[in-house]
Amino acid sequence: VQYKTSPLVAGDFFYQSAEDMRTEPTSSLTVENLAAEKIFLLSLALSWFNGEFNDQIDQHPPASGSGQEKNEAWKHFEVLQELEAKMIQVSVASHIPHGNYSHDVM
Amino acid sequence: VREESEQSMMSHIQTPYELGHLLRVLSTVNLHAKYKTLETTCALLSNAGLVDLLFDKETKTFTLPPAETIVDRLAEAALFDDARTVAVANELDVDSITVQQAQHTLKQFSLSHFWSIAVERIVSHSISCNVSNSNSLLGNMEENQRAVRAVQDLTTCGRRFLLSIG
Repeated sequence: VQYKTSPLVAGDFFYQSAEDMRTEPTSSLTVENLAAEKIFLLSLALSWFNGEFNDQIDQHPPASGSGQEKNEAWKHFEVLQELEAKMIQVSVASHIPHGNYSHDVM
Repeated sequence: VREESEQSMMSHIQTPYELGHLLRVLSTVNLHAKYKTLETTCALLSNAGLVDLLFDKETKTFTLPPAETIVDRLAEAALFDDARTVAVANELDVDSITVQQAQHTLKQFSLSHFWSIAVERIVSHSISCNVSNSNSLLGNMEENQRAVRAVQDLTTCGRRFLLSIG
């Protein structure tokens, strides 16, 4: 599994990955594709939570016209939407597939 | 001469109020673009309660730390938008801040979920993505074995990484 990565992600994140590799003697991974995998997994995990909160919103939608404030799930969902958009930028800049839990790889 | 006098003024600054005022003046008269950047940084740090970062602990005078330090402190305080603003103003990498933000957000959400179960689902999904991404699976047996091993190694490290977040 080979990812192309740019120097954009070559910060502490890579060194942390290298530390992981030293504790994994049988690893066939390069520092670059391990770091890329972490970014991919972060996107995937955000997407998974996005789906979770979306389900909660579907199950308990705010009553329309009631003036009911957005519930916690809504607030989390909005935070995730914004963050996922930023993570897409990271993925694109680093030539890493963006992890999307419900719709496979973008 | 102008730079010396500006430096001299800055070195006499002893309070956040004086600093903010001087930076507003220097920024308004447009002496140098750096003052506008510094004014923005100072305002962000003041709002975050981190303005002490701009003052030497010993001499109590204004001392500008490296932009990386300011960005790190803002990110540590979970002020990721502010960290990105300072990073952009100083031409630093913003992607690493977003990655930190993702980890921070996931940690918060993981507290209210069965994180270990979620991790297994996420890792399983990543395996299928990695396998479908791997062009090597169309190659010979040796290449296939290498690709499968890479996916297995990614899975091991990925699971450990996600579990460490929660």
